[in-house]
Amino acid sequence: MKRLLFLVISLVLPTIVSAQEIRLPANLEKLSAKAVEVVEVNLDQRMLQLAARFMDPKDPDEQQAKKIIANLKSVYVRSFEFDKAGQYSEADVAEIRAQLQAPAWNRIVGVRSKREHENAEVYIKSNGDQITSLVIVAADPNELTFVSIDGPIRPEDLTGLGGQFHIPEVEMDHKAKSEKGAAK
Amino acid sequence: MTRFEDQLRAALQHEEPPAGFADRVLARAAEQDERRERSLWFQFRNMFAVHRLRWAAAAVAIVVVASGVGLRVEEQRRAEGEAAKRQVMLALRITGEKWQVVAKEISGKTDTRTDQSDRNTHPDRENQE
Repeated sequence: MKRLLFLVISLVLPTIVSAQEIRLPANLEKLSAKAVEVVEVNLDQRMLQLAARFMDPKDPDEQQAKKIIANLKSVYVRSFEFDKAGQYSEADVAEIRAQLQAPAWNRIVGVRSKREHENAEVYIKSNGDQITSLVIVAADPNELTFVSIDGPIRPEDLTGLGGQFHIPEVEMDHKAKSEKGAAK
Repeated sequence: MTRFEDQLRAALQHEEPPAGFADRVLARAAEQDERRERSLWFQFRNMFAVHRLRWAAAAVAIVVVASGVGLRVEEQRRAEGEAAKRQVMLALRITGEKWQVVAKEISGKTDTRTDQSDRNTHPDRENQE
């Protein structure tokens, strides 16, 4: 099964490279063999449009998804989950980071959580106020995730995913501030 | 009896046809039928008359096959669409999860344990295994 998955990844990789201009390092793809769970999503514009046609108009999650993907060109996700820490190296992630350099890319967020041992980085390409591409690299000791979205996307859409798709909603700053205000 | 009456009687008198008259009439009629059958138009029309049933059967077969192929293509397209939809939902869920991690850290309210438990029990994730 893992060999088949690796073969599929190897076949799909050139497509991703040409469409996305972000080369997934070969080492990263080899992590499939070590991972206990691999999520691989490859959606080009044709597939996104096809998916949009099959979204249930009565399902709010699917309607939200349809709205988000409406103008996207591609969505690629690689997520590797390991049963123990240390299965991937910093060098694996560094190869991706190396491609996300200024001036084309801007790292807008870099989070390092010592408590949760979870690091997350968000890179964007923008044209004026419009985000035209977005990459998320999230790494914790047991999981490595790479998300690449090509096309116009609004951060509000991603924030709006909280409370949907079985994702708990996050209380943002404004709410925290109001709580602090109430405590005073 | 007048001469006129003699002439009239002679004219109305029963006269036997020459020998073989009937055969010659039938032979000529048959020859005309044969000539007509040899004409292109007759053959063309006759061809359709003879093959009409075959054409009808072929047309029905084409319609049945075309409908079958059409249904199969539609079925495949639907399956592809449903698969693409599941992929989109999964991709957005993972993207949302990671975005929430960032949002939590920024807002200073890190509590990823809820995320982890939810992620581990989510059916989409289980389906990927």
